[in-house]
Amino acid sequence: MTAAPAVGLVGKLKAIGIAMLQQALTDWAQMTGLTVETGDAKVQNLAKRAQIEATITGAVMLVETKVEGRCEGPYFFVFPNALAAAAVGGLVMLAPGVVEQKAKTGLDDADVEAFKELANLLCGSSNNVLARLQPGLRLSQGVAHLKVRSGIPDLKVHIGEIPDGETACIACSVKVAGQAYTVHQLLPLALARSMLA
Amino acid sequence: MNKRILLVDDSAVMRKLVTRAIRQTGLGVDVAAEAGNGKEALGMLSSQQIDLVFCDWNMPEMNGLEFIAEARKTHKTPIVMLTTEGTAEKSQQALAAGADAYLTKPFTPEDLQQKLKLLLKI
Repeated sequence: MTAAPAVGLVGKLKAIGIAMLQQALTDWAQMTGLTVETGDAKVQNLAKRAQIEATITGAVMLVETKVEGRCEGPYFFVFPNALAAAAVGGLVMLAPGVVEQKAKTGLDDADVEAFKELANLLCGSSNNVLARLQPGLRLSQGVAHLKVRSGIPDLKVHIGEIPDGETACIACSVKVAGQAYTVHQLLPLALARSMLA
Repeated sequence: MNKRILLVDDSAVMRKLVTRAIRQTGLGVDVAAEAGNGKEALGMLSSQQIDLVFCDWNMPEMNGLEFIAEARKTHKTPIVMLTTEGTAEKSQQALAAGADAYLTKPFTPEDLQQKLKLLLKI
């Protein structure tokens, strides 16, 4: 059995996870015209790949980046497909019916390209929060590190590569255009400890 | 004659969005040329009449910062760094490399209009 993250660590991770997502969604709202609202978050230690697979279900868009600065390691954002479709739809002004369809069938290459721009903005917004709350740390926006992938199979492969097998998972409740979603942020627990030490 | 803008961004979507935003300012300015990275942009800057450049930071081949430093060796055309890199440190870095202004995404129509008016003197 794996121990849960320490209470202090949970509180800090939760605060940072919510603040980064809130800033990012606020900035997304400015570009997409969608209304956004951030709710509470839950932090878990998902020790095994099976736990991650059981926690994050359904079709998703995966944003992979890298923490840089006084410590380094991978950082993932996982967005439900429907949220990603809504955001892309707002960005490129798709008709509501088209957005609904994409939420079901998945995003095509052009949509993924548009979502990359939102991912770039997500990291920029997060960096503004990190500069305030955790100076000396940033999420890479470089083309070599910031990657967007569509689909659960990629998620399983990439999260499975987190070296120590222990994953801190911040599950944030959000509302976008009136619809409730959960956005997950994942990082190695060891990295979370170093970031917040 | 309309002022000519060169838009440098590796994202075709972002180029489209910025083009739309520039058009919506109603200032009569056109995006006359587009480049997907700094290297392409340098070529365009040398071969075309360009009045203003909007340039992203993170791009393959040659990033925005490298482009500005390189462009400044031979060109005085005003350059705006248009990026999601929003920290003061990054902004200072771009201005030190030779950018004339720094605009963070997401930007408001007013921010964009103000930069256009200032740098194109319109």
